[in-house]
This record gives sequence, structure tokens and C-alpha cells, in this order.
Amino acid sequence: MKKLYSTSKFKKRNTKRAKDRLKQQLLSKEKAKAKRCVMNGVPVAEKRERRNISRFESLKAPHNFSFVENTVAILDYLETIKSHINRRKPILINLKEITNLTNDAIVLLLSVVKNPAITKGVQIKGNYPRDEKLCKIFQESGVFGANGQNDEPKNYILTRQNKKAEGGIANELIKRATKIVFGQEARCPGVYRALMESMANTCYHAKPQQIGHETWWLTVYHDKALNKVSFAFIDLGIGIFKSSKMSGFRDKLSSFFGITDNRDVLKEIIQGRKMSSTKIPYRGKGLPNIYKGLERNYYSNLKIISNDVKADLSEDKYEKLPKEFNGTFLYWELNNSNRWTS
Amino acid sequence: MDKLIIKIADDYTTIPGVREEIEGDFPGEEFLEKILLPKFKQAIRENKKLIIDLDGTAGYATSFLEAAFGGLAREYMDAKIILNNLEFKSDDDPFLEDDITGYIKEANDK
Repeated sequence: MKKLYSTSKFKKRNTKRAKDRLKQQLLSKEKAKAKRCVMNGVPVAEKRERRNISRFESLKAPHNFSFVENTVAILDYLETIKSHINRRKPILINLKEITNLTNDAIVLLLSVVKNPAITKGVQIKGNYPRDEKLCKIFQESGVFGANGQNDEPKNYILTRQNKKAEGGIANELIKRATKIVFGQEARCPGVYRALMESMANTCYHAKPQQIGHETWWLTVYHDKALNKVSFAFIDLGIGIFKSSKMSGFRDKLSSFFGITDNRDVLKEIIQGRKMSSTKIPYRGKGLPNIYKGLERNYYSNLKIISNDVKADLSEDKYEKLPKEFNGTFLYWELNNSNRWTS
Repeated sequence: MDKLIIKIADDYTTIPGVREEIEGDFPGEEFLEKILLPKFKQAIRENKKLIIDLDGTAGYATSFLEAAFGGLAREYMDAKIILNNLEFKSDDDPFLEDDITGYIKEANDK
């Protein structure tokens, strides 16, 4: 009987298989070589970091990374981050392609990625913008590292967080801001008031059942080109309108004046026609007085975003957002036309 | 009429807080209890005006002012007696006096 491996059919099949295997091996070698070339000169630690990052789900940030200018897209992005966290997937916040960056988006991102209640132990990493200027701003913000409280003199973005109203922090930030804008350390009673009221609102209203439990975040950014300092303040509490709702204020507005839209509710609040959600008549002067600060020229360009409302109070524009923001965001700018005292 | 003076920056703090201690340091309620109320009682007793010098601080939160001066009006259940016996000095912030007067007047509104 003829042996199986000496048949022509077997030989033909075996030759083909050998050829295929050789082809596959050469291809793999080629790929490995190409990979080695790319990684040539890359330090071992970075190689390890790249391998590590490849495990993370990359979430591309909106090109215009500004909460004030591109509110809905940023809210969408945050929702994507949160949904990945809920599925317990490690995340890479991919900022490589962003073309605009403002401190309000940084403070919002900080309040999310540095909040253990939101991140739930899921690993979050990030990369820096390709644009050099934006990269510098971001590195100094400390979002992906220490939170910028050291080596401050060279920083032009400052970040603070707390749960209480801290006059010391407000005073320190104002001194730095005024040195930049007015060329000397000065006092701005209106900015101090706005900061303290914002902090106190977080302490009291962000989580009404738990006083002093919610953290506020604040970034102060110096725009050298325009010689202005912008303040962005945020808490991720329940927001202004859910707080008002709890006191039944909205029901009263609705039944007496037919007001149901939160844009109109905000107008009522800043005009001071609202009773505070604490239900004590003499309270509830915080937001009206922050608005007064704008009227008195203590600061400019005041904006508020909370729940489904985005308000540009300097322009008297009130916008209804298609997406809810659970929290309260305040933004204003200090420039050399604003009121100050030496 | 003789005068008593409270200079908040010297007698209390340069960085006043908000309303209650639970919200942060140097609250208005503490200022009322420890400084303003005793001095106001003394002023009434001695038939003197109480001057409140508001200058020299970083600024004031509304809730601090309301708790302190509105709180004083609530203590006496009357705005008139407070306004007749208090005087303010505020060169740093020209709006403060009117604000505080408003808080005193509204303090007992139901």
C-alpha cells in the first residue's frame, strides 16, 4: 500500500499549507518590525503607559470645550462619561483635538472626575490638547494631576474646592485677580460678596437635606490678551429650580401668575421677588445680590446655568436647554473697567 | 451725643463669613451675638450712638449683613430703634449703607 504522505494530493496540500504559513510568519515579522520602529527611542515608562492607556475607552471631547459657549455639547459629553462610568469602563478623556478651552469647562470636568461619588472607583485618565497654548492651560489646571495648589506663582489658572463658605479663599483669589487686572493687590467687595453667596448657596441649598455636604469648585483664569480674569463657580447639587420647587414656590408662581417656565422663575428670583427655598422670609437674597453686583459694575458678563436654564444676565438673554444640568454654575469676569478699592 | 464704635475689620475679622457657623467661619450670627448686640445694648443704656465702621474688610456677604443687622432688628422686633441708634461708615463700598438699612427694615416682614 502506498504511504499517505507520498501521494501527490498530500504533497500538493502540504506545500500550499507551508507556503501559507511562511507568508503569515513573514507578515507577522514585518508588523512587529514596524511596531518596533514606531516605539524606537520611546522610553520604557512611556511604552508601558501607552500599553496601559490602550485599555481605556477613548471619549473624544467636543472641539469647542467651553461650557459657556457650547453648553449642550459639553452636557452631552458629560453624560457619555457618566454612562461609561455606570458600565464600569475605564475612560480616557481625549482632549487631543480640542480647539478652544475655557476655565468653566475645566471646573466642570474637575467637579466630575475628582468626585468619588460620580467616578465610583472607575479609572479615568486623560490626555492633553495638541494645541500648545491649550495644553499649557490644561496642565496648569491640574485636572489630571495634583489640583494646582502648589507652585502657584507661575500658574494663571487657579482651582479651589470646599464645602463651606471660605472668606480666606475668596480674599486670596481676589488679591491675585486684582494684581493682574489693576496692577496692584486690591479689594473688590462685590466679587467677595458673589463668591461668598455662591459658596453659601452650595452649602445650604445644593443638598437641602444635608447642609455642608456638597462640594463647590472654583477656577479663576487670567486671560492675558484681554486683561480680564474670569471666575467659574460650580456645584453638582440639585440646581436652583429643583430647590425652589421643593418649597412650593413654583406652584405659587404657577397658580398666581401662570409662570411655569424656569426662565421666568429665574427672572423672578433675581428680581428678588422670591421667597427662599429655606421658607424663612428674610433669606433668599443671595442670587438677587449677585445680580446687583453686575448692575453696580462690580463685575461683568454674568452667566448662570442651572437645570434647564442658561442665562446671560449681562445681555438679558434666557435660554431653555434641551438637556438638564444637575447643579448650579455661575460665571463672571473682572476687567479694568469694574469697581474696586485699594 | 456721644458715640460708641465698632470697626468690624479690627474688632471681628477682615474676612466676614456668611450667616451661620455651619456654613463657615466668622458668621453674621456670631458677630451679632458676641459684638453687635452687647455694644448696641450698651449704646442704648448709655444713650449713645453706635457707629459701625464697615471699611477695611474684604467685603460682606448679604447673608452676613442680614444675619447681623436684620438679626438685631428681629431681636428688638422693631426697625426704628435700630435705625435711630446706628450710624454707618462705608467708604469702601458706597452701596452698603442702603443695603443694610433695607435688611433692617425688612427684618420683621412676615
